[in-house]
Amino acid sequence: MNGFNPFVKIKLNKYKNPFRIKLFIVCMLAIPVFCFLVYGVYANFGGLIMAFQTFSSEQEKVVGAGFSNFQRFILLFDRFNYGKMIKVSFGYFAVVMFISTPISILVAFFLYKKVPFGRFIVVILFLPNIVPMSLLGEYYRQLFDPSNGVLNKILNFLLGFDASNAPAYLSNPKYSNLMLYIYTVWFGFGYNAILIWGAMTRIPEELVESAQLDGANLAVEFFKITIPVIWQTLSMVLVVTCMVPFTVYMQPMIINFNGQAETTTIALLAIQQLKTDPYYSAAISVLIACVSIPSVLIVRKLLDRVFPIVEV
Amino acid sequence: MKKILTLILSLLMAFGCVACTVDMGDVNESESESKDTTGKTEISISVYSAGYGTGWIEKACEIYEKNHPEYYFSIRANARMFETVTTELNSGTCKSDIVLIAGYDYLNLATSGKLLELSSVYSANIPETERKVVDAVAPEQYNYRLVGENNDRIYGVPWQDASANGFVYNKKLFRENGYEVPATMDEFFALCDKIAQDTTIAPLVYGGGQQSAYQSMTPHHWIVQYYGYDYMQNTFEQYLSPSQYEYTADGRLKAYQTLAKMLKGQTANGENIALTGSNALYAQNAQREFLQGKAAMLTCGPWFPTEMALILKDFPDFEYGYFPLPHINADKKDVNGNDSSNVGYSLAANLLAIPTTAKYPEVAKDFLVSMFTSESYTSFVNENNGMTRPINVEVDKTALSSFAKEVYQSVEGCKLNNTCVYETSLAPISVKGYVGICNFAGGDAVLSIINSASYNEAMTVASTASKADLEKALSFWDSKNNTWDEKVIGIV
Repeated sequence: MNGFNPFVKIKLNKYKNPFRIKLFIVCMLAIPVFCFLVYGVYANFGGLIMAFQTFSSEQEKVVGAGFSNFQRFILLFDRFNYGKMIKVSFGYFAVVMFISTPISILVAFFLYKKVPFGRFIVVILFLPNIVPMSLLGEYYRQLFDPSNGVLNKILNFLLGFDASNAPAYLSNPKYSNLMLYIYTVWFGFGYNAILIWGAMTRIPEELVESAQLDGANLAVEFFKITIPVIWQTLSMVLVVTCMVPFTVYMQPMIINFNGQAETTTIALLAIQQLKTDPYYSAAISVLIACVSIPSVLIVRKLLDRVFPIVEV
Repeated sequence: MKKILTLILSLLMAFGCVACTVDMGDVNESESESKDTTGKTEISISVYSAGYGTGWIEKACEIYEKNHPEYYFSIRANARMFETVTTELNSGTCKSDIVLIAGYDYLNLATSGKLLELSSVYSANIPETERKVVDAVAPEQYNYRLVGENNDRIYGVPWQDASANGFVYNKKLFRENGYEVPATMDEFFALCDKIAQDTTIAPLVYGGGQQSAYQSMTPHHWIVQYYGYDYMQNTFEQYLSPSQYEYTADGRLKAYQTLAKMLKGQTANGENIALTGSNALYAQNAQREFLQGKAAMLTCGPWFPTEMALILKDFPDFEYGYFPLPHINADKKDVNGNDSSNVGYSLAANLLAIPTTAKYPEVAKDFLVSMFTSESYTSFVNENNGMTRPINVEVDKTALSSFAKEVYQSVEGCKLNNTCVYETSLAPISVKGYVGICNFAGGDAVLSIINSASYNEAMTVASTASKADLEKALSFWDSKNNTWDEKVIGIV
């Protein structure tokens, strides 16, 4: 082909790239950039504009609404118990931050310490992330079947109920959120455990051996070596956890039939409103973003100060 | 060992991906199936399909194809079709000639040029009759969907009634014990007493763990029966002020208390009316308990035979029937002494519509008109196990299955007398969804009754629910200006 030999390495002058290299880079970046522009910029920008619009049935068109959608949120706050939804949403945060994440760290640490059947445990932990949520949700629901549900029987035994007076754990507001929190921990800690375990495997063995020779026990090793070394990954997990109250909606939507029994979260409220009033839904989403974005950025900054980045 | 684990993980991931791609309930009748479609024009339809299946639209298409052999239909249907169609219409990519759209999307789609104007459908004569389509459609549903400066344009045809659900009952048990289908709630409770006395099974089972046991609209239906068609449709639905909730407090209380007794009460010999554990059962699990003979009656809707079709094959000898929600008053009269036995209740219907991008709009319009013939409507009612449309068209009852006939006969009276109360108020406070016939009810009150630990607690909830309807309405009232709070209503 005109003397072109594809096996000869192209020598790059560090001051200029050949045209075809530039073309290759542009082509590789085109699709992700396009996706970002459409789904990231345009969709979010469109949503932001929608938050200040509404559909007028009298004029039969979309009109500017100023801040009335936001005002409506405040006016309806007590009437439709939005405070409860925010409380439920932050309940997920508390559960993930203070129960699920510590369990993930502990499990990851023991996996890192090469417990027996470690590889098998890894597979089991990751399984819920492979199975579609609709299947997991249906499976979880059936655990509460009053006739055959295993979890139903266990809870009845622990709480002192019998068949005649047992509550409906998933559809009784007194218990429903707690059941969804249990689901969140049970099926959620595995993913973070695998992530953190992966970070732990980067710790050089010589470092650990040296610490052990100096008399460090398991706890010292965990807090003085393991945590600082994996801090980058761990802080990423914690930042994602801080986003949970603003983004959680799958559990009440799929397991609890679109938020029955007071399990609606603030994100699910936005999704529910999407059908009947997308402009109000957009306003709720903007309000959520106004709180979540600065919160997450602040948390990120604070976490960066806890431990310096450790190169190993 | 590592390779085996990797293989297991890969298979599980692949299984997960397969599960993700399984489209629940998609039905595509393509031209490659048994029909000979050579030289025929394809008309495409996209409809929602869940508990009732797609038999209704398939039959309607068959009837039209029989009379118009130059066309054939391809049907696209699944449980997410409302969202799919709306997205396609908004993006201009809808390829269907006829679509089923959700009621809450109607106004937006109609006024943004996505749907074809259908006045010509309404002014068309129903084939083989002297009637026009507009004469057959319930005026409340028709007026509710009119748009335009002069309210003279319409973009959809109402698809279905959505009313309170009744009961599926064990026909064989009833026959063997000489039980009669109850017409009033007093008769219902008396029947429960008899069942508890004569048998060891529970009189009733319901799926309290899911969607309030399908009882969300039960209080609405009873309130409508208690106050009669005229007051509820012509006065209450105006939503002039919260005082109407005060006026209807007695009927409201009775409705909630009757529901509490039905779900949590006991029979004369101290047995629970409902099967133990009903409060936590999911709908299909409750249906399973019913089929296994643990209860004589099940709260359910006309979709029962379609939804349970596969499971019913395991119970070939099981005979079941349907009776509607019994009347709340023993004399079947409203508070003014008028007969309200034929008063019905329904929500605003979803709609069949034609996209502006339809390839064959005139054929689509003709098809929509054809659905108003007695033959087509009878097939609709039969395929939907008796569910009706908000239209008044003659149904050939001899062509209905026994179950469909029982369901249809429960609403026949309100259809013939035009005494169905539709929640089609144009009052802005109602259009925005803040108030309705029941405010605290819907999910909240019914679920609270279901979750009550005892009958007494359920009755307390019932009494609270009645007052809470008024309180909710008052929370939207601007007493200074004697009007609904305009800030809450927003831009109309």
